[in-house]
Formats: sequence, C-alpha cells, structure tokens
Amino acid sequence: VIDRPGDPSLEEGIPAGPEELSGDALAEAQDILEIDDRTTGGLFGVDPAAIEHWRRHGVPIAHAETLRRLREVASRLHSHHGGPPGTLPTVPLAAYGGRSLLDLVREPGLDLRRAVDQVLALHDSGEVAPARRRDPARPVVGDLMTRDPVVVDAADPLQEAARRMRSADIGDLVVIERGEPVGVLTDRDIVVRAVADSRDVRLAACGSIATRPLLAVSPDTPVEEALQRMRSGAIRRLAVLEAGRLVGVIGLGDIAVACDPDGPLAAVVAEPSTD
Amino acid sequence: MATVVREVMTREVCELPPSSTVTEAARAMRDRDLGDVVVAEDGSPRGVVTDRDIVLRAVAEGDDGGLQLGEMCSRRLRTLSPDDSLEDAARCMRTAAVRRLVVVEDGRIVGVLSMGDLLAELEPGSPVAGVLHSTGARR
Repeated sequence: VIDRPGDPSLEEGIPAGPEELSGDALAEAQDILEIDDRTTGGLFGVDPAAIEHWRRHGVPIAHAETLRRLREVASRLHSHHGGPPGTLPTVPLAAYGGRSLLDLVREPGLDLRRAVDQVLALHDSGEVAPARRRDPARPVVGDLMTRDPVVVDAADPLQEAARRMRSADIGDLVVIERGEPVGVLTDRDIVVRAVADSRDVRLAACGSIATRPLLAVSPDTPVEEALQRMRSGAIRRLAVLEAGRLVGVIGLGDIAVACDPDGPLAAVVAEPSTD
Repeated sequence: MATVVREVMTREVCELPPSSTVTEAARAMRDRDLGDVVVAEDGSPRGVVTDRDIVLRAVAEGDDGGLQLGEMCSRRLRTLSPDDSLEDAARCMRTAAVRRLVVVEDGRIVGVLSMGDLLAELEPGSPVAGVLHSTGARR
C-alpha cells in the first residue's frame, strides 16, 4: 500500500510547512529510517543534536513535507521487501552515491517515484546488502542497549567515578584513556580493589582499578550471544562498540527487562540496586 | 523444590558492630566475596551496608575509609522470617528495591537471602539466572 498525498491520515499531527521535525513526527521519521545512533541520525539530519550540527553548517533540516515523502518511500520499500510493518531496512548511504535516503526524499523537485525506483533497483541488483530486518524473536544488542554510556577518564580519581555513579544512578562506568574505551569500572571494583586496600579515593586513578581489557560486542550481536559472553566472562555488562567507537552498554538487567518485563528476573536484576 | 526462605537463605552472615569502619567492611566483602555486611549490635540487626552504599555514601564524599557503619545504615531495616514463602520474599525485594534481606528468628540473625539465592531457586533454567549464578550474587 502506497501512502497517497492528500490522505488525511498522513497529515494528522504533522506540522505544516517547512518546520523541523519534532516530537512524534521526529520519532516516526526515526522509526521509518531505523535511525539508532547519533552518527546515522546526523547523516539523516533528524537527530536533535545532529539537527543543530547541520543547521550550523547550513544544511536544510527535515521538515513536514519531508516526512510525508519519507512515508511514501517507506511504504514502497516496505511493500518491496515484505515483512511486518516497522521493519524497514537501514539504507547504506554509500550505495546511493553518498546521499542518504532522506537526501533523495527531500531534494527539491525530485521525481520521488523515479528516485524510489532507483533505490529499489539498487537493492535488486545486489549492490546494496539485503535489508537487515529486525526479528523480534532474535533481538540484537542494538535493540536493548543503553546509549550514551557514562564514562570516566582513566586519570580521574575514584571519588569522581563514585559521584558519577551516584548522580546517574548506575553501577559501572566505561573508562576512557586517550580517547579510547579501555575498560569498565564497577562500584564493587572500587570497594574491593581500593577501599579494602586503604587507597585514597581522592587520589587513586580510575585507570588503576578498572577491569581491562574491555569486553565488547557490536550493535548487531544477537542478545543470546551477549548473554553467553557475560557468562563466560563472569560479568554483567558489556560495552557496545561500532567501528571502534563506544555507542552503548548492555547489562544483564537490560536483557532481563526486555525478555520478561514483569517477571521476577526483571524485578530483581534491574540495575542498579538501591540497597 | 524449596518453598520457604529457610531452605534457600545463606546462613553465613558477616556481622560487624556499628563502630566498624568502611575500610573494615570493604575488607570483609573482599575476603569473603560478599556484597554486603549486616550491622549488628548484641546479636540484633541494625542495618545492612552494601558495597554500593560504600561507594555512594563514603567514596563519593571523599571519605578516607574511617566512616563508621553505624552512621551509614540509618534506613529502616526490612527483615524476613525463615518461614516466609519465596514468593513473599521476592515481592518484598521488589517493593523495597533491595537485593538482600536479613532473615531474623526470635530477634536473632539467622541468615541473609539475596536475589541470587532466590533466582537460582525460582528460575533455575533461565539464561539470565545462569549469568547471575556465574557472576556471584553481587558482581
């Protein structure tokens, strides 16, 4: 089914005119495009931080007309690929000559139908990797991870790490050294490796206590595999890296809550504890 | 299958007097691989101090390890009876948002029930419980 312009359902709740996307409209655009990190969002220009970035660089931001056309493309891509709604492929930007799907969609005067035909032809020719579809029965780390993890610098004192754990209500931090994620520091590490040794928490550096190396998975790693990694490493949390860049963390609690939100596991492993 | 707290609880409890320091508690946690100590006076419990409490209330404040446990465990202590059902224990942990409860019988401490103990009993086959088991009760 192709969304038709003029269909009242399309216009509902969408701001008219060249306004930037916000609220529900922004969420919908992100859903359609499966935008799931700041970088991708930046390329598509719909992440709030990215919008600000692109605005500073004079790049037009997404607006309501864009969303309407986006829905049409999404609808066609969806009928092309089949599958349940909301499972559209992430579109590799390079396949479109460096232009994103959204670039195509919002190009003034572009024949959208023809552009979409070109997009679909690229998919069919195999030049574009097959659509990666979300399978609810086999979730991947990217579906459940916590984005923008709280970090601490390896040179920071433990007291600073403890403050961040307290203010963010979390039990562990990713430790950064010279810009690279190198390890994880938990609240328990601070207690058994520093306080128990009478180290001065105002002076001792996080890097000297953290667990290294960093155990990491990628956003595409199946959740089952992440659980296996936690079990074999006897840890409850993994860093999520994409092309060497820290994009999130995934904890046992995230998985338990997602698998069975009302179960006893979710209730008790939801992290961190307040006891 | 166990149905009451007595069958599942950990009987080994680390009790420290209120005058103990944070450093002493941290050493006990490290040496006995525990996530908490029970602060007790004359055999009756006054509170629980967890490893996380030490981080939030002592380390974050720049404490040198000399803070006394009696000053840290001010919250009302929730306890279980050894005859409470595991379901009641799980509910209590959930509503109190704690991972451990002290088990008291006739006013004396007889054990501690952790969520790890509880999970292993309630959902032994689940993969999440498996990780909890492999990582110990706390880590």
